[in-house]
Amino acid sequence: MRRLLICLILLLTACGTARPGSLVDKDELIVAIRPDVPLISFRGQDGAYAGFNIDVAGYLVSRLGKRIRWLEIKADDQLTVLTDGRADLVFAHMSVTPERKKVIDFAGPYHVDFQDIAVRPADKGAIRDVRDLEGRKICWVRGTNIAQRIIDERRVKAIAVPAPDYNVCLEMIEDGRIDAISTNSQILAGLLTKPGVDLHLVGAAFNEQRTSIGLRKGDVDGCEELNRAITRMYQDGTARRLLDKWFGESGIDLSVVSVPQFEGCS
Amino acid sequence: MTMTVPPPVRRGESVSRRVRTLAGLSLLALAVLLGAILAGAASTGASLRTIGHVAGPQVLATASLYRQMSEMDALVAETLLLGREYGPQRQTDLAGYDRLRLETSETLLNAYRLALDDPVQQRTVGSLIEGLGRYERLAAQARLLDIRSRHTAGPPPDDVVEAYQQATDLMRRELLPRAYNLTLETGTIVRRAHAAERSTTSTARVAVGVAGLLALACLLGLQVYLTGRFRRIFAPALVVATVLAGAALIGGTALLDRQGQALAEAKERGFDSVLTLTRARAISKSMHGDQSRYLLDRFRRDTYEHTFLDQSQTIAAVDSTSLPDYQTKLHPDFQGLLGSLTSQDRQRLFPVYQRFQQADARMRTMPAEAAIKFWDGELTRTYESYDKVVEQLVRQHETGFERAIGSGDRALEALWRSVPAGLAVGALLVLAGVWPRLREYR
Repeated sequence: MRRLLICLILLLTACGTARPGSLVDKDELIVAIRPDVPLISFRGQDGAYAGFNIDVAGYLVSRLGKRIRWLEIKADDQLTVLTDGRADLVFAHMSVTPERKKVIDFAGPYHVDFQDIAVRPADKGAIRDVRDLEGRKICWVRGTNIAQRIIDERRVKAIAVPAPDYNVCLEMIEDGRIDAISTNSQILAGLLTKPGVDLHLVGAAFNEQRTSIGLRKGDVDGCEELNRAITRMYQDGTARRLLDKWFGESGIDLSVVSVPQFEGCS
Repeated sequence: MTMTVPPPVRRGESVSRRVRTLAGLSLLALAVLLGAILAGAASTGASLRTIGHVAGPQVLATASLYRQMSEMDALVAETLLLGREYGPQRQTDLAGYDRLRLETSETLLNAYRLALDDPVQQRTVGSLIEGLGRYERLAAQARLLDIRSRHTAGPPPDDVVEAYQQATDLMRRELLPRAYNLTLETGTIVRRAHAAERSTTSTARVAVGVAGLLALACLLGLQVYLTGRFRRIFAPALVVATVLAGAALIGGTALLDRQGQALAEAKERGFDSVLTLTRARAISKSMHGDQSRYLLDRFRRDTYEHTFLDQSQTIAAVDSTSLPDYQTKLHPDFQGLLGSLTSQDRQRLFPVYQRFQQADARMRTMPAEAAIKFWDGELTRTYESYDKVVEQLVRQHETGFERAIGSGDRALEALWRSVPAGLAVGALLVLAGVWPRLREYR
C-alpha cells in the first residue's frame, strides 16, 4: 500500500514538473531595454527609466500581475540576452524576422511603425526619398536590420557605416562621416529631441515596422498572455494615451491607433 | 500446556467484522474506481465539447470574416484599377461586393454570438461592426470620385488613390488585424483546454489504475479470507465481482485512452492544421490584395511590396534579403506557417505556391499597363489555383477533425453505457457473496 502511494505521488509530481518554465510562473520578470533611446527608453533626470517602451512594459507586466527588474542592453545583445536566459522579455523596438524567429519567440507586435530618414538640413532638398540614399553613407547600429532593409530589400545601393548605438550615429552625421540615419520613425523622433541635434525628418514613411516583444523560444503561455494584455491596452485607451504622451508632438501620424495583427504564438 | 480458545461469540463477532470491513473496503474501492473513470471521462468530454462544438466553429467563423473583409477591399481596389472600358467586369465586381457585404454581416452576427461569454472578444466584434460601416462610407467616396474621373484602365487619378488609401488603411490597419487576432484567440482557448485536459486525464488514469488495483486486492483478500475461514473453495459471486472489477479497470483505461487519443488527433491533426491553413489562407488573400494595391498606388508601391514580402515570409519562410531574392530562393524545405504542416500537405502546396510567387515576380518587372493585364489574367488564376489547394486541404483536415471528434464522442458513450452498470453489478455481487456468510453469525 505504501509503495503504491509513493508511486502515485511520484507520478503526480512528474506530471506537475513536465512543463517547461514560462514567464507566467514567475513573480518578477527581467525586462531588457536599451537605455539610450530618447522618448522610447532612456534615463530621465531623476535617474529613473522613462519612455514609451518603459510605460508599455510597465502596463503589460502589471496586467500579468508581476513585478519588473530592468536590465540594460545594447542592440546586438537583444537575442543573446534571451537565449542565455539573462532576461525574460526584450522591449527593444525589435521587428519580427524569420532569422530571429529561429532562436526566439515574439509576442505582439504592440505597435506598427514605419521607417523614416533623418538628414542634415543642408541635404533637405537632395534626399527626399529612400531611393535618394543611393551611393550615400547611412548609419547601421549593429544588431538591427534597418540598413539591410534599405540596401538588400529596397535594392538601394547605400553604404552602411557600423555604429554601436544611435548616439554614435548622431556624432557621425554631425561631423559628416555619414549622410543619413534611417530607422523607425519613433526612434528618429526621439533622436531629434536631443539637445543640440539639428536634423531634418524626410517623412518618407516606407517599410512597415512591426515592433514586437522578444521572449524565450517555446514560451507559448507567456506569449498568449502578453497578446491578451496588448489587446486590453488598446481597448481600454492606454495605447492611445501613451502614444499621445510620447509622440503627440513629434509629427508622427497618430491618426490610426489600433491593435496590430499579432504574429501568433506557436 | 493450556490452549486458549476464544469464546465463540467474540470470535464470531470479529470474523463478521472483518468480513464486513473487507466487503466495505471492496465496495469503497469500486466506488472510487467508478468515480475516477467518470471524472476522467467528464474532463475529456468537456474538452471534446470545447474543441469540437465551440472553438472549431468559432475559428471558421472568424477566419471567414477575415477573408470576406479582405476580399471586399481587394474588390474595391480592382474596380478602381479597371477603367471605364471594363464596364461589365466592374458591374460583376460590384455585385460580388454587395454579396460579400451581406455575407460579412452574417458572419459578424455569428462571431458575436460565439463570443458571448468573453467581453474582450465581444468588444472586438462590436468594433468590427462599427468599423465596417466607416469602411463602406470611405469606399463609396473613392468609387464616386473614380466614376467621375472616367479614366481608362490603369492607376486612377491621385484624388481617387488618396480616398482609397483612407479606406484601405482602415481595413488593413484596423479591421483585418482584429479579425485575425480573434482567430488566434480561439486557438489559445483550444490549446489551453487541451493542455488542462491532458493533465486531468493523466491524473485520472493514475487514479483509475490505483483504485482498480485496490478493488482487486480487496476482493481477492475477501475471497482468500472467506476460503480460509469458511473452508470453501470459492464464492462464485465474488469471483464474478472480481472479474467485473478487472474488466472495468481494463475497459475504463482503454476507453479513456481511446478518448484521449481521439482528442489528441482532433487537436493536432485536425484543429491545428485547420487553424494553420485558414490563417495562411487569410494572409494569402491579403497578399493578393497587396498586388493590386501595388499597381494602384504609386505613392506606396514600396510599402505594399514590403508587406507582400513580410506576409510571404510569414507563410513560407526562406532565408532571403529581398522579394526577388525570396522568389528565386523559394524551396520545398521552407519554414513559417505552412512549414509546420505534414510533408504530404507541403508537397501539395509547394508547386502552386511557387507558381503564384513566380507570376508575382513577372508582374513586378512589367510596365504598368501590361502588368495590370497580367494581374487581371494569369496572376489571378495562379492565385486562385493556389487558394483552391489550400481550401481543399482545409476541408480534408476538417473531415479528419470531425471523424476524430465523432470517435471520441462514441468512446464516451460506450463508457457511460458499460462501466457504471458493470461496477454496480459487481457491487451487488460483493453483497451477494458475503451476505450468506454474515447470516451465519446472526
